[in-house]
Amino acid sequence: MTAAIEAAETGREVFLVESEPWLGGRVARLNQYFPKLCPPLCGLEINFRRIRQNQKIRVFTQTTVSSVSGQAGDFSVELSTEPRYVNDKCTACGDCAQVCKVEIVSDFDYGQGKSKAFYMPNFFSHPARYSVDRKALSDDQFAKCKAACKYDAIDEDAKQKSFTLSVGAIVIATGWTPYDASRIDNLEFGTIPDVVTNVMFERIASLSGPTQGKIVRPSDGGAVKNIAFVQCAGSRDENHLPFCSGVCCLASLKQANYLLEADKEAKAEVFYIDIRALGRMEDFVTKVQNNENVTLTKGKVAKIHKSGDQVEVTVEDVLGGDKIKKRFDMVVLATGMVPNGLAGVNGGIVSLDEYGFVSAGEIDGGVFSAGCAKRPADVSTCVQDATAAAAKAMRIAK
Amino acid sequence: MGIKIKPDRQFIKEVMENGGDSVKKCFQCANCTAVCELSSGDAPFPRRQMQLAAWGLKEKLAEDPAVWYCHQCRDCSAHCPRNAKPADAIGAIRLSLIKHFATPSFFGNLLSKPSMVWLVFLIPILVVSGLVFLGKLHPAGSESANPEYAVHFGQFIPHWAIYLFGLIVILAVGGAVNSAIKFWKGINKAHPGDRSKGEGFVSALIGTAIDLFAHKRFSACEENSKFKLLHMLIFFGFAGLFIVTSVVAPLAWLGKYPFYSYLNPLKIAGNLAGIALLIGCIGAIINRLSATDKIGKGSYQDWLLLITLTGVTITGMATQIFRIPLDIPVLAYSSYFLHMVFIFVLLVFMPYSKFAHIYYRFLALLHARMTGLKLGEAKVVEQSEPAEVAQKQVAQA
Amino acid sequence: MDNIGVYICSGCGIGDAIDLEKVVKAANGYKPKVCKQHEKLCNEQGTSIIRQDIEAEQLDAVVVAGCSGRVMTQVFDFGEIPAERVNLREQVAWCHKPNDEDTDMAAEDMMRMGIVKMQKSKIVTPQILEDLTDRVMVVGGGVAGLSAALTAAGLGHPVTLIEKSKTLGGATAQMKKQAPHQAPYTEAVDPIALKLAKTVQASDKIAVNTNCSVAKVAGQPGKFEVSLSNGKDIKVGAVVVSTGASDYDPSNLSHLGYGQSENVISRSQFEQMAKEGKLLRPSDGKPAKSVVFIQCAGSRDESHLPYCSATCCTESLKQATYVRNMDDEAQAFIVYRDMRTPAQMEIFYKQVQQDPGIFLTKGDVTAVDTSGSTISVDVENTLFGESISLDADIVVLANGLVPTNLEGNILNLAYRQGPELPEAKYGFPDSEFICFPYETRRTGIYAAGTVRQPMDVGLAIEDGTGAALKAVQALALYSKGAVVHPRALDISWPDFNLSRCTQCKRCTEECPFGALDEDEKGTPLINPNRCRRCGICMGACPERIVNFENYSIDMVVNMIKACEIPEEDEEKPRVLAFVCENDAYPTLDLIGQNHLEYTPFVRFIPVRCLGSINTVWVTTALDSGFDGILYIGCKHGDDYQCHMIKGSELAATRMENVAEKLQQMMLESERVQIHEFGITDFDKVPAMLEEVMETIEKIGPNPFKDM
Repeated sequence: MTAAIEAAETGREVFLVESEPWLGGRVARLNQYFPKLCPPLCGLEINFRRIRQNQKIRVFTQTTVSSVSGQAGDFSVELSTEPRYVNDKCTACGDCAQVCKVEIVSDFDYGQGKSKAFYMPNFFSHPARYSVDRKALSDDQFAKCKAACKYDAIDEDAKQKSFTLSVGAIVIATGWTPYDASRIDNLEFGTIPDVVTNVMFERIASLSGPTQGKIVRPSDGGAVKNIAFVQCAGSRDENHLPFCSGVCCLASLKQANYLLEADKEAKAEVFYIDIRALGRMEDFVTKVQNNENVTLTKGKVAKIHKSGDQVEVTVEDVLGGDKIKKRFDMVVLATGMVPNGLAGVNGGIVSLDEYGFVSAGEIDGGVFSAGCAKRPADVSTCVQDATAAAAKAMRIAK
Repeated sequence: MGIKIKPDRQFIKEVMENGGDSVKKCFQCANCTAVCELSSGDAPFPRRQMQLAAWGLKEKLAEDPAVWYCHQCRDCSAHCPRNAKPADAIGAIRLSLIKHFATPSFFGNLLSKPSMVWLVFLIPILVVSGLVFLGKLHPAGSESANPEYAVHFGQFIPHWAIYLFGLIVILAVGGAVNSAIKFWKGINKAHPGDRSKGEGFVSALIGTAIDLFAHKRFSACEENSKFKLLHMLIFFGFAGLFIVTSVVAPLAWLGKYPFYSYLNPLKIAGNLAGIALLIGCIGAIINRLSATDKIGKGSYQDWLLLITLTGVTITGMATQIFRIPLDIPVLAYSSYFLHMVFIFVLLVFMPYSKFAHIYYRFLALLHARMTGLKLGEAKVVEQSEPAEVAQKQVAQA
Repeated sequence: MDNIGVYICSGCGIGDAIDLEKVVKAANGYKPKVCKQHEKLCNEQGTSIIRQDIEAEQLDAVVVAGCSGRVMTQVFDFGEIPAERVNLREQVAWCHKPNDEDTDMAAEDMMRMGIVKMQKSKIVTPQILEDLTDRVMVVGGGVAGLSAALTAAGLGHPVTLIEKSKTLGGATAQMKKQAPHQAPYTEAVDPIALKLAKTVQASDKIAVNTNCSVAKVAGQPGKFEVSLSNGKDIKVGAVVVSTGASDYDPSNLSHLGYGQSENVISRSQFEQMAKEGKLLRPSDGKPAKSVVFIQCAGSRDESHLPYCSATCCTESLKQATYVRNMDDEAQAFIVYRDMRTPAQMEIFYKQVQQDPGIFLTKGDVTAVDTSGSTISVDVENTLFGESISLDADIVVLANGLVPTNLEGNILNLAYRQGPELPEAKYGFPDSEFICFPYETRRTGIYAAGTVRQPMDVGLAIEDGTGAALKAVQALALYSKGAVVHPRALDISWPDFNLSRCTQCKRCTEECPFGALDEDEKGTPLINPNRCRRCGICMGACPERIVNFENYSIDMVVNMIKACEIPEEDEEKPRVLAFVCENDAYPTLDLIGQNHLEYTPFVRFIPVRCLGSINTVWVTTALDSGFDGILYIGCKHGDDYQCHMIKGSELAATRMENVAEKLQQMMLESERVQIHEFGITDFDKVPAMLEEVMETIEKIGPNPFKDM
């Protein structure tokens, strides 16, 4: 979004292509940003406004790149849009969802909650239009929802559409996907319900999430008095992601703060290899660490077991000199970032490094990467990076 | 002021050459310690040992019994985020320490370097050849030869020469005892522990022996389930053969031999043990070959020991078969010759090779029992109550 | 504007919940040119009616009563003709009791306010300054500055690059090698700064001034007048500040042995030594066989630099490879607190640590003993489980970075509010925004690189590139009379009726963006291109001389007066809430979206920022009989969320004035309250409003009500 907006506000025509039904990416699913503990929707809202009022940006949702041909300054991009079944007459009044009886597992909540098959995932969604999981509905059920719409916004005949755009330059800002924690077999994600990932916990703490922001145990809805945050769950690990995902330390400290804000007596313990908080982010570490109910323990958790209705972690307390077992109500795995890569922009134009990150791109190439597609980074860094990518793209797209 | 640190680069090099080539990859996350089923609350390993090795702190490692607690199951290597292969590194540390404790140290050097492998075998070949030569000079022992057979081992190598061989073995054992005493003193000095919490010497001795026989500590390993069975086959195979030999040797001394019948109980026992050893060795070789790079394919010394054990078994079997029923002197004598060479490598070089882990590990575990260390158990830490935390803070203030 | 068309939508449940006839009646009270109802105004039929009317009735503004202005923005965009959106859907129909008298009254008042707002608005004509230049000035020629210069030039702008020293390249150009900034990240590389400097020097669009600094910057974006130390005077449109960071003064680190022994040196000294090709002990020239690197030397230390300097871990790893590459017998020790090699820099860490002669441990250095022939470094909390002591021929202190902004004299702005970029913390200039890191408080001036925060080379390149785009963007916007973020594209501007100015200087002091200077008498000198159109000056002015064409004191006063205040005996209290349009307004929409119910007695007026609320609005509201006044906006303080940086903070401090006014009016101070919410705190708002209503009930109605 930033790359698009910055280029458009400098006067360039921009096409913004998004594979999801709404803009916002990963941050739309976050509860708060570190270090200010402010809601991401605040900045998103501003950016949505900037997009809404700027005629130079055209947004294509549910759209992916099929192929790219041509060269810097003159690319031809073939795109394909999945049918949304809800057209732009939608007023987001919600009547369709009201009528809809079918529930689907919410991808937006990382599978933790349910939503109607006609849905808008977040408080502020842009475009402010519903989408539907068409496959989840029978023709009959779909027809019922269609009948409920007073605005002729539901279109049963929507088809996949292919089209071509001519552009001068391309910015790849495809972002990241959370690492599949079930592949870290010793951490029991997927077998013990009270072991969740950091992105899932973010949804749990969000008012728009599956528990309306209440931090409760996924297994039984019970109170959470203490949480173990397991850092580098997959990151800095040759078996999984050899690089450092850059944000998880601060994210876990932030999430520890969620718990302590919700319950002053609760405890959070962060098990880490190295606490990585660069620049002034150190202030945030100091701030959270100053809370007597937060403990930072150096040692990587290697084993997780069910113990009664709690979860037991095994770890070496490196500085304490003991190998310990400790029980928690909940365990949050700080799973890292898997770069989403080229997402259809075929190779040859730009390359991937051995971890799947898109290399920055030389000016002459006309294709540039930005954000976590290029390097794991926090929001601010991604915004700078996207602004830079827009600048580079504008040098090529005359 | 803390302990003065002076990295021993030679030691690092040695560890890296002995199979611990990844030791410097370790970034001290402590995943290995947490994942290890044998590592315990008070004596966590191998994270700290990896650090000591990466810094070349040989003296620290020499007095650390934890190095010997490790049974090389490789759970840690399988989960190591840096591919530092702690299991191999600790194995390499043990080999380097075996060399460190070795007296005379020449043998330690000899056994630790793959480039010296030719000498490892050349020495016994020369020694056994010497025995054969001596047998030709003083052909004795034919008095017991069975005329029904063409093969007369006593004529190939006379029995007195074999006893000479035994004497060399005993010298080697003396070396081993010397090393073991150095080790024992070291660990007790560095880790006096609390004897009041531990068992008495005799009880600890018996307990440790039972644990070792039962392979108790192997059971915990997750990553390498075949490992326990194979080690048991090798262990009991070797022990069986060792016992049978120990019985036969005095009998032979007394002239109560030979035992031609395969149905002789001693012979049955010996052969069963031999078969077990052979299966164990072959299994272990396959296991190592099929291991992923991550888990590690084993060090030079692993292979030396395995090949030697396999060699001992195969040549032993061959010697037996070429005598009865095949009775082919050339093959029987060749096999016998090779058998003696392998036996030499195995027994004489024992205190200087991986084989020595038998007694270092025994002593380390004995020490653990005597100091009351509960191996394999993490310390259980309870969540402190808010009130306790507050109190602690008040107390600190 | 007089020719107003009013369009009321009954869709999305509006017609079901509200008696729209009453709303039509309220609208007709203002005699609009047209007033129509439609069941789905947002569809093509609905908008084409409006378009036809605009043509046929020559409307100069429309008022669309229906959904929130935050949705269907482009549907109800009629180009030149402003459209005011009266939010009957999210803020009335969806959040109040349906078919209730009070709900209807809320809708009527909102209708009235919407029409009055348009009546009191004028068509906005942009103010485009003359003699604008498109030249970009980049101050500081390190990687960030070089990247900025190349980017601005690549985008077609003439660039002036100012560098204090005699060569371009900055700090990294002085290095033997730099840490990797791109794949494969496995080893140190030749400084990219050298390559960038060459490209800059070859560019005919970039005028390079070395041995030069900025003596003075006056004026405003689009037409800054800059005097350089070399006597040149130039005109530039926008500025990128990329003066980088200096090493933290190692002489403050005597506790780590600096100054006690010549053999304790800083990381730059060591770099220089390595570059010269020999690592010798400064004391006696003997080869250094053991080099100990002490990380966080001054960084992450409350008594020195509380922040992490971000680059030192990687730098020490790199320097450790020098030790090893130059002498295989030498060894390097790194004592770190946390090894901070984020993202792909982890790969570099992994590569370096494998060297058998490089030794790393976590630990805290407790003493550096320089009394012996070798230095002894004591470390506790190590990975060995015990304290250790290391012998060193040379100790390298990985001393941190200090922003050059702290050294002052970078820009020498001739601004009323001071000569440099405002400091956020520890000398790093703003921005504090996570989402908008380039939004500094000096419009058209963008900081980039390590002056802004500690960062590695890869990030500094991108930061410089991005800052250059922001500079170019500012120029593009000002050429059309539009403003930059956060009100990007806005062409409205504050008009100062200076003939009535009393020189109280509140506006010049309070403007968060330093837009206003003063003449000798204290009259504000207006620099429209520095202004961000937030209206904080409008809120500050006691004489009410600051107004926008479409946002004025008079407009809001009349909107307030447009609300009908029931008689006291009707027991229908009224509260007026000024809501920040950036956060609080969307929050109100959220309440509706979630169909939470709250009191229908509150009337909401969106404001550009809480800081733009003029006290006269409060007194007007109290005079007209409102029982209470609320300011609802963004958080202030260290973690402020105010988009105008100081707006909500100023509103809070101005509350003292308001309290005084209340006292004069003999009113209770509880009648005016300020509430700060995050944008997603919608669940807390109904309860807050309820509490306010209870307070009002307790203290009783406004005594001015029936007057």
